[in-house]
Amino acid sequence: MIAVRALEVFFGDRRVAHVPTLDLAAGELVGLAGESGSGKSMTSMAILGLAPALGATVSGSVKLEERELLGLPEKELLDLRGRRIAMVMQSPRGSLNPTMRLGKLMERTLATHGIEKADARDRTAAALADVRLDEELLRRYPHQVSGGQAQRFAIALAVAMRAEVLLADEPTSALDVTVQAEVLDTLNRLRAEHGTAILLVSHDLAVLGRYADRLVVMRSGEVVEQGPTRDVLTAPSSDYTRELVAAVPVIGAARPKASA
Amino acid sequence: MTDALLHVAGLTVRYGDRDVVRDVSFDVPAGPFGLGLIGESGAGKTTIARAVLGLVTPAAGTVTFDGASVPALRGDALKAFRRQVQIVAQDGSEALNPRMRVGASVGEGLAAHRIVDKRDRPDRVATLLEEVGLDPDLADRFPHQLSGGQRQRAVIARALAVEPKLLVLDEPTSALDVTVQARILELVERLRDERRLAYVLISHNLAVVDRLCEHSIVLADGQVVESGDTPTLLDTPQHPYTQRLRAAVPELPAA
Amino acid sequence: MSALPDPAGTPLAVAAPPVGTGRTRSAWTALRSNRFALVGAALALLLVLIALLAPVIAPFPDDAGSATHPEIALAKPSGEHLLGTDQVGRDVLSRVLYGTRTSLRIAASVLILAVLIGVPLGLVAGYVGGWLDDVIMRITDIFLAFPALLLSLALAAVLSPSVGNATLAIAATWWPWYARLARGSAVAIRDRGYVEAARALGVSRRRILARHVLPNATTPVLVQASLDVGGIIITAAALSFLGLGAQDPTAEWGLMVSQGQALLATNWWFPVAPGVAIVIMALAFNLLGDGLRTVLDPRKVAAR
Repeated sequence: MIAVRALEVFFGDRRVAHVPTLDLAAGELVGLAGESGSGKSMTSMAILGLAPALGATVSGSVKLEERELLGLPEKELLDLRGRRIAMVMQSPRGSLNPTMRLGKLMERTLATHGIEKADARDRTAAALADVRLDEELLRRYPHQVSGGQAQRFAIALAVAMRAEVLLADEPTSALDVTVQAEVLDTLNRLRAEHGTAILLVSHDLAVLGRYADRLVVMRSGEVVEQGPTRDVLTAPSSDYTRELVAAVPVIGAARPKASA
Repeated sequence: MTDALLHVAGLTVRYGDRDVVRDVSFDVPAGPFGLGLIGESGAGKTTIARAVLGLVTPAAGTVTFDGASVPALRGDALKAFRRQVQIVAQDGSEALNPRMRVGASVGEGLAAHRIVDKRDRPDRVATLLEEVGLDPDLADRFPHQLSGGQRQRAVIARALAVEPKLLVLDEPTSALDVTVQARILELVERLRDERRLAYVLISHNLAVVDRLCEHSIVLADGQVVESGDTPTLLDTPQHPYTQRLRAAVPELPAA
Repeated sequence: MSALPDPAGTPLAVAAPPVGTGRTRSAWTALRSNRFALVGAALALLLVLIALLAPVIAPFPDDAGSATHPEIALAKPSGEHLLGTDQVGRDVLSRVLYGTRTSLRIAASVLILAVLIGVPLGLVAGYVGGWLDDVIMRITDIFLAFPALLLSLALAAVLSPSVGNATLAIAATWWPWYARLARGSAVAIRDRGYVEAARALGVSRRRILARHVLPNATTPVLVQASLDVGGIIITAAALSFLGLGAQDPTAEWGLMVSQGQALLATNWWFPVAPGVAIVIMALAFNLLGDGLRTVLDPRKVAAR
């Protein structure tokens, strides 16, 4: 679905991300892992075509099927974003217009991309059912829903648009762990049922370990390792990945000595 | 009544007409010992911490430290208590004054309790910074010139300055990268043994609690739903909420 | 904070180069890149210089005082008197230049008084809270219930007309705003981690106020102060215009406008020159204050 080749993102002369190759197939969930400063978010921004707006220069190639996305005019990018490529951001409510009820927001988004009213209604109902949200939610404003609901609504938008690719940047790091599980399960179902290609950007290796088919590990703007999730996590080839895996606290791994 | 260092019984804290903490009880023996407070947002963890520190007045119940009722402390007794119990909060909550040099922040307790002479304060600050693994030269920096991990170490040094017996660690690593978190956890483990510290660790991360705490309580909506020693609690959770929490935590595949 | 993530997701604090006292330095950098603020700062600096150097640059320094030259009263602008002369023959340009001194002195005095009274009251009210907060805030409410100009007028009318009494009258209506502002900051700062930590350390309330609350509450006060310079000068000019402030022979713009207003048809430069000076002064400090507000926003400073 998505093929990234020799992608480089610069701020001035500082290269903040360099991704030689990254592929994302239909129905696949690829995890992009890294700590702060690793360039993982910048990479997803560049794929979405949002990096130049942040003042970055981008070179290389990002293809959606056969179509080159880099250097595409803003108008065409806007059309692709939302229609074929959807995104879910970290701040659950921040990415939703606060003055609009969710129903209106859904309606507007679908109308912008030329979907007929009757069709839009059907799609909305189906999408909400898909992410297990009640239609009653459509009457609420973003501040009246929980963080988990907001994230699932963002996913529902992608479902309604029939987006083929979904980029999720730390979609659950602001959420409680039980809510996180709901959102991630929703994402996971999406790719199984609709064949959506998902790029999940996260600092949490355990989260990626549970959901991703393949992992790309970044550090200081460079890809240090990529491969099938299990291989990367159980037999890392780079020292950094090994350090990263070792740093993840695991229940039962180390416990305080019994106190006197 | 036990010989616990900290004894909390039937603690209820009310904001307005809402009980944010209801009938919470636990004991913390003298260190080295860790008690974990597990719960999600809104569970009342931070409010319990503030009650332990004597920063909020309970609506009901008792908080007893070293045999004395914390809410009733006044004057010199309160001042003495302030040396015994310290807080380490989450980085990102502006735990350090952005307008104060790190050294001045770390030395604040030394000044408040006249622990060392003013002239010897810089030396003591340097020693404290070294103890938590920081370059003493960082004393001249401002917080924004430090990394998140360094700031958190400085916050720990500030707490240690007054030689406390009990630390309240409120999500001490949740704003940090995982490799940085690992080093902070190591630091807490080391200090616990070297200084024979007791601590109350507030965290939403079960694995962090598991690593640092012998005993844990699980909170939901301001109430204790389950408590026990941490390994048992996490390996065989009894309450449905604890089970749900436990199941929601993703884990790395075993090597 | 803007919705945009920082480049490469680096924690901002780490990315910031460790230079000088970071915040001050980057605030200056930010100020330089804000054109309006820069113009305001340059104008304000120029006005301060004029005030300081008035005896040197004014062509007839004595005309700022009690000197009179009835023989050349109401002269038209000429090479010698660029802005003509006033009703008793004093050089208008010299008086306008000296007027900068009077205005800045009034503004500075009012601000110092307002800040010294308002800020401590506001900080204590906000930090301590409870009944003390209620009492202090009800008092400020009483002051704020009257329109500022009206209250200043009433007070100035009771006192004998002079620059000093005008200053007091204005300060009396200005401090409640600073109390309000400082209270808002203190309420926000009260719950910050470092204040909580200081309380847990047993640091005294007075010390917390002085070392933690006050330093972190200065930015909005600074911004408000520079924004207020214009308003204070206009109020002072209004009092003088109405005869309740500066008295002849003091070189004060409002007084000069009042003395020249009847002559607008024949000697328009006489009332207009001090009027223009008032506008320039107000504008300069407004631009500066607005710019400061933008660049001193700590979140914006950190992001640079």
